Amino acid sequence: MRGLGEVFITLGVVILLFVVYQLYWTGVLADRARADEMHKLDEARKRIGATVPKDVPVAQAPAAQAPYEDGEPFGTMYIPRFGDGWYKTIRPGVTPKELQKGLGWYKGSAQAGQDGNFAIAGHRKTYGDPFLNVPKLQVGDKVVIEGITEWFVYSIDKPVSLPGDKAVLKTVPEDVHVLDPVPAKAYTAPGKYITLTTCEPEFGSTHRLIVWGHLESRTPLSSGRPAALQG
Amino acid sequence: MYGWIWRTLPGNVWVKLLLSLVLVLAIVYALFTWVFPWAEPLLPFSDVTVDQDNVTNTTGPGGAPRPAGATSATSPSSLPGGLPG
Repeated sequence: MRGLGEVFITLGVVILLFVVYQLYWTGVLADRARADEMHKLDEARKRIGATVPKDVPVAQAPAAQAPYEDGEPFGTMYIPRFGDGWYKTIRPGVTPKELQKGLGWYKGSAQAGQDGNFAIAGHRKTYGDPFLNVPKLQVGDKVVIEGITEWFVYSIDKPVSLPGDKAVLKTVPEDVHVLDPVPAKAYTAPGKYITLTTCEPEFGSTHRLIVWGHLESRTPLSSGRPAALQG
Repeated sequence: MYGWIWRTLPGNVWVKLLLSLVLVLAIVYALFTWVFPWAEPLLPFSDVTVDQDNVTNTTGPGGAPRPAGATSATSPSSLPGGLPG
C-alpha cells in the first residue's frame, strides 16, 4: 500500500512539473527562439536590404516579393495595443513546431502587402502567450509588420458579420473560410487583408478567435518606423 | 520505493542527500528535455490554428494566386482538423 501511495505522489509531482513546463518553461524557450529569429531577420535585412536602392519610391511600384522560405522568419509583428514591449517574429507554417518559435503564416495565404488574405496564427497560451490579448483588439488598432525590406501597416476592421463595434469573431476550428482571400464574414469586396487566428478559451481548443484588418500603408524600411509605432 | 532508493544509495547521510539531489535534478532535466515535449502534442492545449490543409487553393476575386505548396483542396469541409488555436 505504501508503494502505491508513493507512485500516486510521484505522478502528482510529475503533472505539477508539466504545468510548470507549459506555463513557464515554454515561455523561456519561446524567448530564446525569438532571439534566434531576430538574429536571422537582422542578417536577412542587412543582406537583402543592401541590394535595395534607397531613393526609389517603393510605394509607387512595390517590388515583387520573394516567396517566403520554409524555416526562415520573414518579419516581425508589432501591435501597439499589446504594449510597447510586444513584438513577435513570423515564419511560414502553422504546425506546432513552427508556432513554438513565434507566429506562423498560413502557407498558401497571401504574403504581406499582397492582394488577398495574409493569414497569421499564434498561441493564446504557452510559448510566450503571443496572442493572449487578441480579445482586447479594437476596430482601428494597428498591426505593423516589419518585413525584410518594407513596413506594412494594417488596421483592424469591424467584420460585417458582427454587431456594434466588435472586432473579434469567435468561431469553430473548422471555419476555415475565415482565411479566404475575401472572407465573407468580414468583407464584401476584394482587398489586401490580414487575418489573425488564435484559440479560445485560453486553455482550450474548442473555438478560435479571428481578427481582420486591411492594409493601410506600405513603406520601405529605410523610411523609418511608421507613425503607428511612434508615441 | 523511496525507502529502497535511500537504503541503496552509498555513503553517509550527507552523501546520500547529495546523490538524491543529483538524481532528482537528472529526472527533472529528462522530463523537461524529452518527456514533456513529446507529451505536449498529445494534449489539446496547443491546437491553435484553423487547419492549414483547409486553406483553399483558389484565386479569389482580386486575390493573388496562391503560391505553390498550398494544398489544392477545394472543399474545406472534406478536410480534417481546423484552425490551429
